Amino acid sequence: MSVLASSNWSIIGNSTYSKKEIYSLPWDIDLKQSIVVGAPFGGPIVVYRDSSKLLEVNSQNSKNIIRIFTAAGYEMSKMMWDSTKGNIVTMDWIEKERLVIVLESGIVLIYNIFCELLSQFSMGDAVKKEGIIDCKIWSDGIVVLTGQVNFYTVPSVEDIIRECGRVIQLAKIQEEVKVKPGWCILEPKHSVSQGVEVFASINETLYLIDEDKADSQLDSISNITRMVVSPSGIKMACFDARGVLWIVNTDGSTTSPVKFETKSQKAPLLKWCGNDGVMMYWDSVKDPVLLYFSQGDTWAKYTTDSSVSLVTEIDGLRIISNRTSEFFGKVSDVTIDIFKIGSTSPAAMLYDATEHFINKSPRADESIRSIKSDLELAVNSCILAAGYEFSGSEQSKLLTAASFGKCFLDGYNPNAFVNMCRSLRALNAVRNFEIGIPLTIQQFTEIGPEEVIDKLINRRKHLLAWRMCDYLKIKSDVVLNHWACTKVRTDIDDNELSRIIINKLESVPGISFANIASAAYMANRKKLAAKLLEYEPKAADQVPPLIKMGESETALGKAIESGDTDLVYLVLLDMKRNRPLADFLEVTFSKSVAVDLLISYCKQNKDMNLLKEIYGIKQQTKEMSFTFLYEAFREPNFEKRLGSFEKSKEFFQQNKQDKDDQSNAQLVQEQIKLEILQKELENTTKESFLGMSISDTIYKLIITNDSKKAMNLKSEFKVPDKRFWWIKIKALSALDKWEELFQFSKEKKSPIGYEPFAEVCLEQNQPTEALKYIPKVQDPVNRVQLYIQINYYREAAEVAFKEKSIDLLNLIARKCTNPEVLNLVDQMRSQLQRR
Amino acid sequence: MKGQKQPQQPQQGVAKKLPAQQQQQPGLKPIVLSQIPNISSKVLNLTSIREQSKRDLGEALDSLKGNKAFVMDPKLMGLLNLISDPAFLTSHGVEKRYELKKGRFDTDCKNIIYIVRPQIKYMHYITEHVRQHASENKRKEYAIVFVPRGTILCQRVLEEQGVLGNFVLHEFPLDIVPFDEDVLSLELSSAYREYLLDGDRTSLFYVAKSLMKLQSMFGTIPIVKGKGQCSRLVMDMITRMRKEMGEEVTVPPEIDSLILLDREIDPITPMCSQLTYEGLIDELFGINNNAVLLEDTIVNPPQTPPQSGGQSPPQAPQPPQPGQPVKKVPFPLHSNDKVYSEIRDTNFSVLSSHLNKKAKEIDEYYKKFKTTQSISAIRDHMKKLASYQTDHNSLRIHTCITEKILDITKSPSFLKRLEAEQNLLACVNTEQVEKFIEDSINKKDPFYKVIRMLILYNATCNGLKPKLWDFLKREIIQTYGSEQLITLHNMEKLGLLHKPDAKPTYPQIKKELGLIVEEINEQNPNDIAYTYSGYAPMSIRIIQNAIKPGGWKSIEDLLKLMPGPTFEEIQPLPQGATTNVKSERKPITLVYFIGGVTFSEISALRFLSRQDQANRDFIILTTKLINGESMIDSLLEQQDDDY
Repeated sequence: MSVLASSNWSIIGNSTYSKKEIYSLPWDIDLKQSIVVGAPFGGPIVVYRDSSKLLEVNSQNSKNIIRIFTAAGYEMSKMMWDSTKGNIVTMDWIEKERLVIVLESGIVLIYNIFCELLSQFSMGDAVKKEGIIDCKIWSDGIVVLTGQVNFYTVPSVEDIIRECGRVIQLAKIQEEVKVKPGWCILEPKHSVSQGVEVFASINETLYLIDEDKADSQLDSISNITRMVVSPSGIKMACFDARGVLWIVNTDGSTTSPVKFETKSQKAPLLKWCGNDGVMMYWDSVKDPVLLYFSQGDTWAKYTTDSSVSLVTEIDGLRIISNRTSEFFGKVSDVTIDIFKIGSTSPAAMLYDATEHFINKSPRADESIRSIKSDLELAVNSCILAAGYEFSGSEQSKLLTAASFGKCFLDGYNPNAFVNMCRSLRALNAVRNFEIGIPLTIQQFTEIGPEEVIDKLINRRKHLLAWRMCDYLKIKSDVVLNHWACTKVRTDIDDNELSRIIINKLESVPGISFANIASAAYMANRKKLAAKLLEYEPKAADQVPPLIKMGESETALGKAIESGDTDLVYLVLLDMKRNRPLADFLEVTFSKSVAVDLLISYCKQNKDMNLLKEIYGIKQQTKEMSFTFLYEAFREPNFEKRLGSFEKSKEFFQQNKQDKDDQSNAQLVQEQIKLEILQKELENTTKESFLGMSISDTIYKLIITNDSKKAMNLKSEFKVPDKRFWWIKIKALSALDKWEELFQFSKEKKSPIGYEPFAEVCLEQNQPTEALKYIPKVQDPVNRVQLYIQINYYREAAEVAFKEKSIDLLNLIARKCTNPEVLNLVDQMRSQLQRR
Repeated sequence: MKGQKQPQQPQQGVAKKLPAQQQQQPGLKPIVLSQIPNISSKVLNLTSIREQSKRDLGEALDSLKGNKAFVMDPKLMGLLNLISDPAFLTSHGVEKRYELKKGRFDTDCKNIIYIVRPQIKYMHYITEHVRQHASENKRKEYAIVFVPRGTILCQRVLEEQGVLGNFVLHEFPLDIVPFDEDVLSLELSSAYREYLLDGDRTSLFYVAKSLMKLQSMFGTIPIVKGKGQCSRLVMDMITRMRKEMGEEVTVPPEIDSLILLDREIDPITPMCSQLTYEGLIDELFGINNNAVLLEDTIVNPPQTPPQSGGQSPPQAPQPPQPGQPVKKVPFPLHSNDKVYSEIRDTNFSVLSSHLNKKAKEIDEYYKKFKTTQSISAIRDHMKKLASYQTDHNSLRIHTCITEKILDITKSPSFLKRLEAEQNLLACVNTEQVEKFIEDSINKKDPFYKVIRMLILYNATCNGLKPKLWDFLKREIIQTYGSEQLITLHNMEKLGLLHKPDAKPTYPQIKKELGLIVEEINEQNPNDIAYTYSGYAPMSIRIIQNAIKPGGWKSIEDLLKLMPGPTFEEIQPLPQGATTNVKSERKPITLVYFIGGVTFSEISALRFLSRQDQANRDFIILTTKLINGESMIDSLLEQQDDDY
């Protein structure tokens, strides 16, 4: 057996490679006439008749058909391609095994593996106008090259599907482009700018282009016709016009690039084999050639009898031909150790010993003894090597060897062994030709079991996925959700199906009935959808599907229940857009919470017409008046402004029983009168008055020396004397008209006393003026305090003494610093105390 | 006046660039603390909340690659200072910072990130920017970061304006922001108005979400008590959310009980002038996001040789020359400042003596230093030196602030206002107050001051008699303009101003809760009433009753006099989350003030937790830190939301 294992090995340079068949393909595809693109990680294969290739017309291929196969060559789906949609530039796979088709016109179509259209978008008018001539796709994005030699990118297809993504144009090349450039993309996860970057060879210069700039990197190489970046993003293979293959670092750090002269002017297809080397493929009808080049001068040539398609994997390369699917890659060191002819490594010895043991040969014991000290190493190697095997029997032999070796070890930790068995069991299940996902152990470790489960449910292999969850101890809610969503698209009748789904899923945590209901609705099963939705525990999750189903009333109720106002708005705005106004308002009015929110929305969005409509229906005249009032204050046009005030007044007046509203009506009437008056004032004085209150208007009139008009206004609006006096003395003090203020104080007895006079003087820092009024202040305490404020302690003391207030004298004593006065105060105090 | 620069350039454009001093990393001088307090996890580990927010902010900033302009919602600017420092923003590519305003926006950055609360007016501002740049042929990349989340309303506006496709949209789920080791806030300024006036439950939903977040971190809170309609709604939302969640994280409960309290229950307290040190700073100068703006000369005095011991540290800075604009800088106020944490909760009347005591202590230290001989003693001293120097500087600044405060509190106008408030609270001499209000209008005092006294009058004197109300309304409208009709209408709808009820309730509440305490010892307080010099904040009295052994049973009838339902509920713990083994720690009560809380109320709660009989720690969570002015501000008829 061990001889056989190494029979498909070849040594290239210092490494050993193997090229082994993983599936023989049952399909009837001739790659010569087709475009065949496989997805990485053992993904599906899309096949499309290549219109650039000549072919015999027969009934089978006269129409354009897109067919999708598993990696094992079983058809999963197909669709007729409607060529009126436009010419296909590129098709390739993105994450989650979705097929992207890019048309010349910039339309992008995204399908699942069942040829169901998931999404469709356009890359915009600029792209459409310029026309796409080339396109490259990575796991989540697209870069296109247009006829005007501009690069445009969709940085994230996922974002576009979620309606938050955009198309971005990369920096322009500031140079006339003579020939169509060779180019490739550097994915965002590998680039310094964290955005997608493009390497393009233009007029013998290699450019690195990102969103903001196009930098020239190298200019010594001649025009590069083909290039491609390795899966790790570190290296790039370039094929130039003279037939030389270069391998350089993408970060520009290469000083002496690896070169390989192929002596072929014709550009081959370039595909990386893991990160190890590059496979070049020259397609020709007669003599297709595969040439593999790794580091150094080493290369190997392979012939194939038919055309092939190549798929780069992280650890190798899938070679798909008419009849077989092969895996080409480096052989792992542990495998070489065991199976190399004549190997005497501990692992090889253990493997031998196990065979002897099974054959009941005593040499088993001898072999084990010879490697005693290295036995643990040997066991580990056998476990690892089992992982690299595709054949079940070979895995089992290696694991048996490991298990056999384990017996001779004390305290060996069996975790590695158990984990490997578990992984292999999962791997074997998915590799089975009926499933057709040929993952290697490295790929499996890379993507993890959750993604393997995703691959299975994508293929609608729910049972296997569910069992695998159970086996690998992963939560299975994803599988069940997907299962139910698939199930609702079958034709089992509503009652039966809802029973099945509810029975199975009701008690499972993490099930989204809202999602399943949405799927049912999309499949045109309204009743089923409604029924399933009832089982959704989260009110918030029920709302969007209910809206979709047109059940606005129920949606509104659920949204309110959830407490989330944003959901209530979601329902309201949807109704506002899609329903007749009367209808919309009727539903809204059935819930007071909704009405409040709608009113709040109108206020925030300044939708006054809708607001009035609502108040009209609710006959809320008070609110209506305030709405007009609100509008009036914001209306710049004078006539319209008055109109709104009038309206406001009218509505206030309607509410005859409400005294408040009657007084409000009066106040609004006064406002109208005021504004008309202000307008006149503005016309005569050329000063601005509009928008001022009555007090402010009077103040301004006094300031502008128009006391007569101020008096008129006072009587017109029945401004009380007290307030008028305040306004006047404030205005006079602001103007520094101290004499006039004094005259005013003598005009008649002040209704507000004389304290305010002193106060305004002090505010303007005029103590001497204040002194004129302090003696007139009635309250002796205030008088004392005012004297203190202007540092007239002696006068203060006299007042206090007259009032016989020891407290006031004490206060003065605390503040005063003049010893003479302090003496006086002391005398006064003792005099008072004596009495 | 060395530090004084020439006047700042006139603001050009509308989105003005922030002054340079705010752009640079503050705290070049080690003595000035950061606005972000170091939070000891003495009670709860709140640091993790902040760390999470910081990570989220970083992610939000990364929504556009490369260097970018960062345009901030003015209401978020201060808040972001409590999460991250400028260096953090720079490390995420923020090149320039701007305040979001209406009108033109010019920047040479190619990438622009807006960070906003989801408000419709902002969408219009931003739309205008996009159009302006397009018309000027400037290629820009835009992202909008919504705090705490995007809404369908905003999205719809962008969609209808046809600009939605220009944006990368991102959400920054910032809700709870730690202000200190015992104070958390959502800083939602319109929470009070939103539900009570407009019936909009958005803020309440955020309140419920914030509680769910806390419970996911510190375990389900077993006992919940609440009073008020908002509290009831929040409780219902939490119950529902827990049910919908299905599986719950089984964290052993660290918080022992939760008290939900609507601001509506006690509109009286915020209307009174706060008389604690911290409260007064807020009332007089305004505390925003843990900082007060002070003259630069106070915070960073002109260089003088270090003061030698023996001198009394405080020295008033020279007043700025009139006419010269005074440069103001933020000065952080939180518990990391040791001097501040000792005096923040004290009544203003005893501030001076506290400061004196502290000054003496520092003085003693310096003196001792002079007479110290032995090397080891010197080394001991040196160890403490830095901390004493920090205290010394802080003491100097707080002395300056205190002087400014005492200047104001001595003024006749302050004293008259205080007298009016005290009269109302004690229900005596209300005619004096009526005259005070009338005078206040005649003098055209700031509008909020008039309203504040009016609301207090209304709450304590059983509403407004029609005749008085008609008169005052007219006076107000004629003085402050007819727009205020809408404000007054709002106040009426909220029940802050109303007609007399059949039976006055305040006297009974006052009596039974003991709101007025005659014998107050401000120096060594014996009751929470010290915070308002004789008035015990009603909200805190209610909490005081809640934590008594019998709970609210004893004041059941009294609570019925207040608006909204009362409830006490037990939340069943998820399976597996057993109550913590009796630990040494005091039980923790989380008090949630829905609609805002004042600093003096916080001081009163701190006072309670220091009392032995309470034997518990309080964590205060609120929708917003408020005072009378900011609360009224949120209810005013505003013109600034136009677009």
